[in-house]
Amino acid sequence: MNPGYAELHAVSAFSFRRGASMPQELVEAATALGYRALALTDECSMAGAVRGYERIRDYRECAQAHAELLVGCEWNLDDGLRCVALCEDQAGYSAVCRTITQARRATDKGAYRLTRADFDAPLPGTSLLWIPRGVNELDELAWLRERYGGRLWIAVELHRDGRDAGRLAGLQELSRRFALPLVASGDVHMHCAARRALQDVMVALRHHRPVERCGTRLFPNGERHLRTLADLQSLYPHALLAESLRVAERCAFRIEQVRYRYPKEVVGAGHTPTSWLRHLVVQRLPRRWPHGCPPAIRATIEKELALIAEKEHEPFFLTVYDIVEYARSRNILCQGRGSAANSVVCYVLGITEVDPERNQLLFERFMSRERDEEPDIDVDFEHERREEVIQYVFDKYGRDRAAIAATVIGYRTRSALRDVGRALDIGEEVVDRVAKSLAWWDDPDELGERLRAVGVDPQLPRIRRWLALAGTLIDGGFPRHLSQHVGGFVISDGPLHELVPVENAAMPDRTIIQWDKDDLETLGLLKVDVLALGMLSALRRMLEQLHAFGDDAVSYESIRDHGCDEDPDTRATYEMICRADTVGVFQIESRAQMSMLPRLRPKSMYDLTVQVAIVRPGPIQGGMVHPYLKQRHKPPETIEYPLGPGDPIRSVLGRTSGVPIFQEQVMQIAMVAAGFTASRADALRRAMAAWKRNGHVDRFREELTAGMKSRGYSDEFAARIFRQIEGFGSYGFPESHAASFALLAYKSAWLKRHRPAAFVCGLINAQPMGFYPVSMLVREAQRSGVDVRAVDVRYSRWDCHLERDAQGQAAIRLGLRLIRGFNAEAAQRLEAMRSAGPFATIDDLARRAALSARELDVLASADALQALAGHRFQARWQTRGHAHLGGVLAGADLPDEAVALAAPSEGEDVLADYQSTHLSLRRHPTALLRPRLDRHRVLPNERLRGTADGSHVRVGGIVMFRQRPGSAKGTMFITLEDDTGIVNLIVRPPLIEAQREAVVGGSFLLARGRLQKQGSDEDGWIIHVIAEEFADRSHWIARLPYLSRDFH
Amino acid sequence: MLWLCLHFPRLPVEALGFGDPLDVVTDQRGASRWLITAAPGAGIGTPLGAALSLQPGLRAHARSHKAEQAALQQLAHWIYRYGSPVHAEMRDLAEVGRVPQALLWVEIAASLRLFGSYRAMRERLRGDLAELQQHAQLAVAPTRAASALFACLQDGIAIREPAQLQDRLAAWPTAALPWPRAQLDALQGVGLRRIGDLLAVPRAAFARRFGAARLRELDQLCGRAAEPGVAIVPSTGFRRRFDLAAEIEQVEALLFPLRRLAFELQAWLRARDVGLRAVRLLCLHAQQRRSSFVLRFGDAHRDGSRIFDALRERLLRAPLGAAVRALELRAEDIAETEVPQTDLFEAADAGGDWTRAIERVAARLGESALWTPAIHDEYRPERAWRRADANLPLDVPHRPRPLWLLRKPLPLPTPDLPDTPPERIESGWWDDADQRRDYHDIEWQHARAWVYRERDSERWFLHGLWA
Repeated sequence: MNPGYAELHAVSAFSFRRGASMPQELVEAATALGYRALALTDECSMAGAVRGYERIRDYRECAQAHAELLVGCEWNLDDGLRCVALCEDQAGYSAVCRTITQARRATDKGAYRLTRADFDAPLPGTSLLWIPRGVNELDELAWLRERYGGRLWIAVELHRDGRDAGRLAGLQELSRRFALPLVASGDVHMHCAARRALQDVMVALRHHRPVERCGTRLFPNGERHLRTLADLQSLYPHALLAESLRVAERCAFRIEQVRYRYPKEVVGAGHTPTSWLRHLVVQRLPRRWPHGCPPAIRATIEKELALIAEKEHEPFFLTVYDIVEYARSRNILCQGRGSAANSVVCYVLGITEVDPERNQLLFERFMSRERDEEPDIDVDFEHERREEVIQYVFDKYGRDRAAIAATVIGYRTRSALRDVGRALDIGEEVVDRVAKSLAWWDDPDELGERLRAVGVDPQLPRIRRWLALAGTLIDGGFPRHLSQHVGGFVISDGPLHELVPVENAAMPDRTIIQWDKDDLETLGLLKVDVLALGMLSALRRMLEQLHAFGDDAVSYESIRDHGCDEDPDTRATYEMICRADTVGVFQIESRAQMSMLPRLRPKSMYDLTVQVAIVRPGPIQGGMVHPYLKQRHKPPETIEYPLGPGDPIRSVLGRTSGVPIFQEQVMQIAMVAAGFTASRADALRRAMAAWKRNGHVDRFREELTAGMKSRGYSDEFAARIFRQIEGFGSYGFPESHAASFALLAYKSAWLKRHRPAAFVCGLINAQPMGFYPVSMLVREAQRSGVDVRAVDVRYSRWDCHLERDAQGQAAIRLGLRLIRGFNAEAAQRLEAMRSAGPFATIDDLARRAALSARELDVLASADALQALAGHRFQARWQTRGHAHLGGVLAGADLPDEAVALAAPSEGEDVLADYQSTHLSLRRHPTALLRPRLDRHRVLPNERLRGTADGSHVRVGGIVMFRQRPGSAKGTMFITLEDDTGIVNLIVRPPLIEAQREAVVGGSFLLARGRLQKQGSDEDGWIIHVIAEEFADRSHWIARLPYLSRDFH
Repeated sequence: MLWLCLHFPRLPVEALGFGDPLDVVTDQRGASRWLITAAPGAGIGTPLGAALSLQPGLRAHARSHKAEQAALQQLAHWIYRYGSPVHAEMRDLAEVGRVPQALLWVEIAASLRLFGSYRAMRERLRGDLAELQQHAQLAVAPTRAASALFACLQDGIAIREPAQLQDRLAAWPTAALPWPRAQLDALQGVGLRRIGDLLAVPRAAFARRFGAARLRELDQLCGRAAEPGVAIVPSTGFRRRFDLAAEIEQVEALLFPLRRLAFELQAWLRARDVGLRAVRLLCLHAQQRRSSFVLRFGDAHRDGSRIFDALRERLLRAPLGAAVRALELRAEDIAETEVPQTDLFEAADAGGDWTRAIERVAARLGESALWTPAIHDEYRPERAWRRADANLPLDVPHRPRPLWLLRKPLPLPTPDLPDTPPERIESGWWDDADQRRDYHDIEWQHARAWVYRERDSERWFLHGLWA
């Protein structure tokens, strides 16, 4: 008779460089084999527990039988003692988490350290398996029995290594001697035997040596997988298998029983959370509506408050409110987004900025009663000051109650090829070459071709094994290590380490929990995202510049859409956006966004919201863009739906002209068109968000197709919807995100249109951020008539600032921060000394500002000493002469023969400008080459606008960008800049292959191709050149630094 | 003085013995690697990553300083026939992206007369270089520094009059100077583009900014300062001849001169602080006939009696075919650093006895006849041991394995199995010899046999017999 079995000792891929199967694979295999239970016992870790549970949840949702998932972990003490702790109840789980935390925090990131002293007080609520190692057995058993008597087992792990019989007999003897029960377990490292090679690779990585030199560090065979019951019966005595079930029965704790409590201190004295939230909302209403709140809004607020109260989510809103208030008190710009941004309560509390009166639709979709969905608020802060907010949270709640969520760094193409390559002793060179050329991994047909192209024979067995194993890591979503989430905080009422293990992060004084944001969501733990956004820093710096300049009329709040019809400034802003004149504008500055702007022609916040959301890989891959462009101008009643005017989909897609643009629309379609329940739709949403994590969107395909078919939709329509769902997977924007981003896009566009000097000044000061290099931003400012002035030690500060030009208009004085090799401290000294009196000579400057030889030379190289020393060569000659006087001689004047140096040529100056600041205010380097370009019949870029569509043209310039987006099927986009403007080239894969050298490496290119032009003079033009041939003329500008920003 | 300088731009790759144009040599500093020899489509100085994206077929090899030095030394010995003194330098700037310069100088003012003309000498040189398959750029100038500068710039510049030198130097860019990049950039930064610009700057002002050392180098370039340097003296190696008073046929009678030669070699080795790895004994017979053999040692040493013992064993094993008139002992293989630092008086260490015993056996049986089984850290039984150098210590396996292992397992009919679980071995997928086997011990023809079942094919094999 089959006694059944529970595997009590199994490690997953979350025991990094040990386990070769994902937790969900282990759960699936245990279920398929008919195990009663599986204990996931990763080494000193709970990081995989939730993923295992997610699979269990799927089984439950589909009402299928499954193996129970027990919670536990394996420990190897510093003296070698090895055991597995299994959680019997909540107290046991807390004790295990506490111990993991203690062990992890006692040493470096990624490792742990546990001594017998740490283990001296027995952990309550746990069952313990002692794992014999063949040494020190009597001592270990005696020590453990003293502490865990009655809940201690001797694990018998038989792996057909030729010594099973002796081992079993020896352990039986120990069992008699110590009166301790024996239990069968498997020391499982993989879900099936086929993972043996991958498991060996893991061992090789752990030992930092190739597999073939790992020898007996490897396991002798592949027996450490989940074995069939029949196989186990042939190995183990019946009683040992039966005992596993008894242990499993004791361990009743399940990971989903983890209960989270909100922190309490965010509630005012004498209040309940409910009354305090209401109090705050009522108190703050007049700020948003000084002239009285409209009744409709008031009603929405009441509805929301009731819902929040019902779900007991008040502390969450209060926690976020508290953080936002802190930021405000410190003048740190911030803005919330996420599903809760659909809430008027958040708007009133100042957490979000999306005005409900202008975005009615959005606010109807705040958390639904039916869906058991946790509210989600991400708050963006200025990226330079987010750390202050993080420190505030740590200070307020203490380090044991607040920690940052983990991010599981999974295997990507490059890391998988590299790691497996190391294990298989593939030369680093080959790995590099292949990893680079496989940036487009997703096309397996091309793989062989691509490998041959880089000189690797894909038929070699070694290469095949390498790719196959790396492929398993990538496709299986294997984790490589834990890292720190960008800003997701978990804050709890009690100590966090009783909820989830906490470990050290790479940053000193940072701790992370062992779960990532998806784990938290699955278990319903609340997370507050404290994120960094460069544009907020840039906006603050723009406003600071304006205020310092005396322009106090503009504030962060005052910049808003007043409607094109009512406000000429608003209209002018949108007109600029429609012309795609958006370099530097948040979210809509990329090449793809720009090419869409003249077609979409946004004229309101909602248009801008759509614009932000639609130019995303999700909608582009889902093929939504063209239908939307086609339909958006149609009157709503003429838009066709598959089931005619009464189609329920119309209610979902009506506002976006029948095309799904936002992530939540896809879920709503699943509900109205395929009959998904709210919770099923939520499961779909989770699958969409996590499809990289487990690739389970597929499971919904049939369900969706069947549901839609039964409601009268065609297979083809269902397939299209499904494709859109896949496309949205990880890239779609929820509407509330898009709306929040659109606000920032508008604010930055407004500044660009109406305060161009401050706009560019703030952007430069907030670098590095955004898409464009400083040189292009500067040219943008010049184009809009702003005077830009060179770096000069007489006037420049560290940051760029505004000066008044002859007409009293704002001009930009470039800052010392642009000088490569200079530093903020030196700039501070320089500014301080300058305010005491102007510098007379280089020696005076060097002495008073205490500048080092290097700092002086760097200033001279930037031509910032012109006023003190003459042209750049003279300045550098002088600073170099100064440089050798230090120490006791400092201050003494040494006679120096005067040397007359010729002034640099214009070309030399331009070159030196670029080398020092990556930009030049003199002529563009291409202007100097114009005669040569003319000889090659190269058209200046500004003349393209006046050239007919379809013409054959020659263009040229400095390569500023290379982009090869995943959605473009291998096509590359190259942007060339000349003295008159930029041109975008489209390069098809055959040309890339044919002229790889120029396409990939050239810094100055001439291109021959066909002009592609759409638009009109009013609306602006979208101009591309389809490249047909390149000529690499990089040597013309050989000493210019490499300027191109290459995005892959 | 008139210096002929040869610059060998491909020496790093030639020294490694590669001839294909796609083989390139790289230098490395930190994480940066760059080409120091050119390939089609990828010039010197190109970062390796960039070079590979331009020319995917490249085979990159790390440079070997040792091989380059050795190659340059050899060339130095060859160039002697064109004059003296000879200087050689592997000029290495140790900066990312910079390329080492393999330079060889020979003074030819005196020897030119022997060749008749520079042209004649150059033709001979070119002929030699072609024979040596060595790529070189030549230049002649009155100073070593100038001749090197020219040789690195282009092939064939020859300036014989010191008076012309400064003028001819003036036109070349300062970037050609073998100076650290920071200083070259600084020169560029103050607009001193040509060497002539440098020479025009007041000396004190120049020294103050670029250092006295650079000023001296400029002076050396123009012949205004001496160019000290250590010239290379050809090394002869150890080669001692012992002429016998009479023709000798008996090995025993050769032992005395042999011992003497061996200890002369010992003294020579100690004086140079080097160790011996191989020695050649050359025997000269009547009518100019000669015979010789080479003896190799397990480790580098400088022990005269050990040399002598080895020679004696060898001669006793394979006596001479003919009477000997003279003996010549040559050091064949010298090791620079591998001699263990024993005590000051070079007393033989205790462990040496075993080594010497093995050497003696090896000298008698021939080198390849002696080996020791060693454990190889592997699960697959065929690969779990290997032949090792007889000098290695013995090892003990961690698992019971029969000492008699069949070279090729024999197919067996399905045997009767005892009721014990097998030893399962599944390993080796990485080298095309994956094994999945269950091993059992069985009684077979009155012996204990080690048999296995292949898990894939279910077939049985006999693999070994227990002693």
